[in-house]
Amino acid sequence: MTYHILVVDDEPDICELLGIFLSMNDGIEVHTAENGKIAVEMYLNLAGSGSRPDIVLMDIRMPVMDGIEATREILEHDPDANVYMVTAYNEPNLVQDAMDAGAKDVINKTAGFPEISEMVMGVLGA
Amino acid sequence: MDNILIVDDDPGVRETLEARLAREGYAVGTADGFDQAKDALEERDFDAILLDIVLPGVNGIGILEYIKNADIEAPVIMITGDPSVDTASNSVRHGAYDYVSKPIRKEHLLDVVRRAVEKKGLIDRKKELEKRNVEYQKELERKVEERTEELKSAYELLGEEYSRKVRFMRKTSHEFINPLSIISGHLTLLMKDDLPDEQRRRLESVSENVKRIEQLVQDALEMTSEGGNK
Repeated sequence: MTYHILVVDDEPDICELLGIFLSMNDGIEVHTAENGKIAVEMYLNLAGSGSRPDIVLMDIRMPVMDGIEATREILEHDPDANVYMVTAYNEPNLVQDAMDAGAKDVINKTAGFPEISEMVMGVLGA
Repeated sequence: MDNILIVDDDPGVRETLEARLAREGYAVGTADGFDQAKDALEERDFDAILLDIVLPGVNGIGILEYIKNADIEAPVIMITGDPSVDTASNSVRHGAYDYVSKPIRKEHLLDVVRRAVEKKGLIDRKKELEKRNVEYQKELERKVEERTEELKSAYELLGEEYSRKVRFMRKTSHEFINPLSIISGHLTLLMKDDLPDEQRRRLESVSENVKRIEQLVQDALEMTSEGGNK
């Protein structure tokens, strides 16, 4: 089977690199979005076409719509959505906002892409 | 010039005393009883008061009481008609400084007046010192308050400056994280390839140095954390 992962970050390099490291694992299909608004649309489109993302890796600070708001909207449409925040910001109130919005957990961006990729595979149980 | 007030209802006594004291260089004022004495005392500050004990109307003891109640500090020398110890001690009990008995001997008069004036001088000096002491105390308190205020605002300014710098450092440190992650990611990918030794050695060096910067950024973030960070 194929796991769909939606990577949301306004830095194209981050999207690309995270995508590359995740794709090194078998059965992974990565989709990327550059802000929260596009992410919400993409999530709904994927879900509508039978490729509902198994995990969303969401940056917090982004233009147009931030990760907290996007998480809230995705959860509104799909209460079972698995959204993980990936952020360099370790302020407690941001973490709290993310959790309140319905994020499953917060992943520290400084961990490195191979490590983040490994964590995601662990969550997927793949 | 020292001021002396003579209070006596007998014009002869007044004139004699006034003449004697004026010759010694005193400025002399006279009064024939309570009303005039009251006016004179309100008008200026005397250094000594010669006060007849027997007066029509308000007598010497009555005037003495008035003087003491009005907080007039000029020493009062009572003039007694007879050297009765009882009258003298009575006036001393009411706050008289000393007394002279009629007939008044010139030397005795001048001696008593001189001592009374000296005493007034001491009283004035003491009051002046007390006044200065209070002023000094107030000045000191004012200065302490002023310095405390200065210190307080300097401290607040420092605090603001410090927070501003900490916030700047934290923000800057955060800004390093994305570029460092991207560099690290690219490096990791590059080093997966088969590379000539020379290139691998150089990339490893880049990688080591990126790790050092990452550590610095982590330290800076920790140092500037706002407490309770996960």
